[in-house]
Amino acid sequence: MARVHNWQLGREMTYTYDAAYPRAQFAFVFNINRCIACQSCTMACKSTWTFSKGQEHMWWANVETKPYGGYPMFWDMKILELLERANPDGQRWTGAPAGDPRGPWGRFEGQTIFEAPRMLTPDSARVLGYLPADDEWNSPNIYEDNPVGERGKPREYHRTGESLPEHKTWFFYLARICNHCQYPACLAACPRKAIYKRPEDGIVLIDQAECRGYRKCVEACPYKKSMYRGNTRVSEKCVACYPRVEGRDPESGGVPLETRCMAACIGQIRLQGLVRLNPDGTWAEDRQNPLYYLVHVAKVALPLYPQFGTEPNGYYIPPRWVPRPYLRQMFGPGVDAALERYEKPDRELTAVLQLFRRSNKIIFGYKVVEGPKVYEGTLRGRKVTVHDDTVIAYGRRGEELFRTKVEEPIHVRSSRHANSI
Amino acid sequence: MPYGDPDPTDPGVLVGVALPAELEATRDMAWVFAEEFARMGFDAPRILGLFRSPFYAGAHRALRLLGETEVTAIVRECVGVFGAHTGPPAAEVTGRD
Repeated sequence: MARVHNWQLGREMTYTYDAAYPRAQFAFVFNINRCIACQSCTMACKSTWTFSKGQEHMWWANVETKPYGGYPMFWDMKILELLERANPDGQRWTGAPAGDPRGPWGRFEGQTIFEAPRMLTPDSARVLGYLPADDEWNSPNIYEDNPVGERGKPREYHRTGESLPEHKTWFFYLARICNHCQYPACLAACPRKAIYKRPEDGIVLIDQAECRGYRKCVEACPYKKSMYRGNTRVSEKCVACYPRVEGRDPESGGVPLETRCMAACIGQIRLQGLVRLNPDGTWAEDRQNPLYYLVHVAKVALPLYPQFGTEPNGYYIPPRWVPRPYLRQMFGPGVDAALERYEKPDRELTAVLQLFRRSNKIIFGYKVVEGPKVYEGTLRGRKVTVHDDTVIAYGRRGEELFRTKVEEPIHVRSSRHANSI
Repeated sequence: MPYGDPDPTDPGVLVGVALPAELEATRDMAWVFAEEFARMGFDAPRILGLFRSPFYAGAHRALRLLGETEVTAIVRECVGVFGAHTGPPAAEVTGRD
């Protein structure tokens, strides 16, 4: 086992292979305050990449209703439980979120899935994980929106539940794709070395010709984003729409495009791009890259279950109405500061949040041009000032992609054409 | 991992068991409802109507728990910050083409 530095955990950890970092890294930010679980992302991915017999089980992109839903069922609870059993009461963070890019959220003192050897079965296994049972893969959108049922009767809804369900609880939608981790568990577990991480953009792929369907990747990936396809007898996963990211999509004109799931997002929750890395695997300072800004400057976007240890490259702006202990478990110790910033955004954050989904082209930089003050008042007891600033997005070669303003125009469809499309 | 039926004592499988939200979570949700609809261009009466309608179960529940006075104040603040200056031009309001 090699020793590598995991900056999300603020410490070194063991990993199967020596550290090797790509020149740039595919990464994304999902603002799940805005997700409405329309599944446009899911279907955009599905209609692009999965086809023919067997595709019905391939949900590379999915949206699940938390805390009830999950695909496969209870994937996160199960791996959290395995880690807890491996290291009882030890899965804790120390220190406080600070500015250190090699450990911005303190230090994780617990065990990652690469460091929980007591639980590994068989002994030759490299990663703590589990293989979901077939029935756990059967319901990709289980418990969506509807937790109504009778106590003690799993998978049964009220037989007389004619009225609309009323949530007497909180819930939120968690949109997920492969996190294209810096230390992929799937890659670490594959005995054939059929999984590789591309040096040019950090996208993790399964070589379909090399895969023999041992399902070690399915077992190892804590996010369960590697999926075994029974009829082809090999595993599949999200390919990060790599032809689009490379700029080889016919509609791109040679310019890197965001993935299909990003482009299809009508809730405008998604922003995806490529970030530059330092030789030690941390993010190189790139102040005007919106992803760098959201993760390392504004610190509103946090990795999904960083304690797993794979250094995922999917970042989430946490849903602000959900009880904090749940969010801290899911996104780590940076939650409170992130929500504080998100609820009371400063001028720059307000402008950068407007970049989401204004274009399908990958944004490599932005600039905020100050505009007039349009409102001054209070919000939740605090003074608030709104400026109608303009934010300009730039592409890979510094060309302007678009510009948009904080104040969006509202268009109301006329009554004559209420339903015309 | 078990291949049989889920364990009914597993809280994850207990469909229908409420995870009671704190009052603070309900209040936060009410702020989010009001802010999002204000951003979409709804005015205060329209947003309040949404809270009053049992069809919008989440918002309606927040109104029942927090009371009309607090929800009205929340809506007023959100429309102030996110709505007052983003209202559609008169031509669009009237629906002329």
